[in-house]
Amino acid sequence: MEKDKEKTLNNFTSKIIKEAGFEMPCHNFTETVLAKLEKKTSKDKPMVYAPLIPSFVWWVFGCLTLAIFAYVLIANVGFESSWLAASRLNNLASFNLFGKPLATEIPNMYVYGSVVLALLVLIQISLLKMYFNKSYIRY
Amino acid sequence: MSLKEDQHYISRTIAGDTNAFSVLIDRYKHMVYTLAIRMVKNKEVAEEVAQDTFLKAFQKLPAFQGDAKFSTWLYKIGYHRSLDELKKKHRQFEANGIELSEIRGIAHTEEILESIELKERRSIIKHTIQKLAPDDAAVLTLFYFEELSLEEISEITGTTSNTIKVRLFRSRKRLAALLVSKLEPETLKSYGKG
Repeated sequence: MEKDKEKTLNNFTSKIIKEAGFEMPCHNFTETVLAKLEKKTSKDKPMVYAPLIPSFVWWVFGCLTLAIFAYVLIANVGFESSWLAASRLNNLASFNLFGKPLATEIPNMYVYGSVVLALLVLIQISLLKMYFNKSYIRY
Repeated sequence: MSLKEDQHYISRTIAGDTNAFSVLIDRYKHMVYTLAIRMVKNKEVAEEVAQDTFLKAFQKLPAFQGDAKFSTWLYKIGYHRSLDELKKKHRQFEANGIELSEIRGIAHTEEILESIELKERRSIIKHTIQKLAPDDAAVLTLFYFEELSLEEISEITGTTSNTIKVRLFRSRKRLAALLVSKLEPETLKSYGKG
């Protein structure tokens, strides 16, 4: 008798609970969870300090410098006959500021060195610009 | 979705594919939300609890051993997150004071319920479940709706199978008692059925 009662109650409860069915979360539930996850994981990501100019570029740059040195030493090329002289950058040193010649003579090597340094700075600036453009994308 | 499929998406999520986790969310969001709302009795809070459950599951996913089913593991997180929410609110529930000694008229209650339109009937049932204590509602939902075994429910709630058995016995009686009282002629009048 007691068993029958229990069985009836069991069947009744099963029917009731099944009929109640699922409760529906909001329609964008999955998107909200994913957005929260994205926010959380980006917060948790450790800050990585990567060099702006990758090591591969430095290797190329080093190899090129070595190649130029090797070429100058092995081929025994005089400065006047080299391609650097052909660029006539040394004319910059004899530039007359305010119509007066400079008091001291600027060595050719100093002029060429300054030009190369200026080029390097310009390259760095363009690389920095590219880096910041990538980091701060406008939406 | 089979256990193998679950495991496939779990592995992909651990490997860094967040989209794979969205498949798992879509698969289990209804049940996790249902469990949460039956326990915390509030839509907004249940939504938050269900979302937190998935966030916590995502964080703990690398530690998921696969000893239990993914769903059992997930419901365990949801169940405990709901309990934490309830601890904050210190809520009391009507059904705790219900007399369990004798419940008469199950057959009569069933008859009345069947005479009510499906939509209305569902609403009455849902309101009644909302009046159950959180643990009772959780156990009934997991056992009868999700059809989990006593062992699986005991794994989720952190109690023994015997405790779950006793709780099920009492919860069934409480639910029936609440329904019987809800379907009394005076109450039915308010539903336009008296």
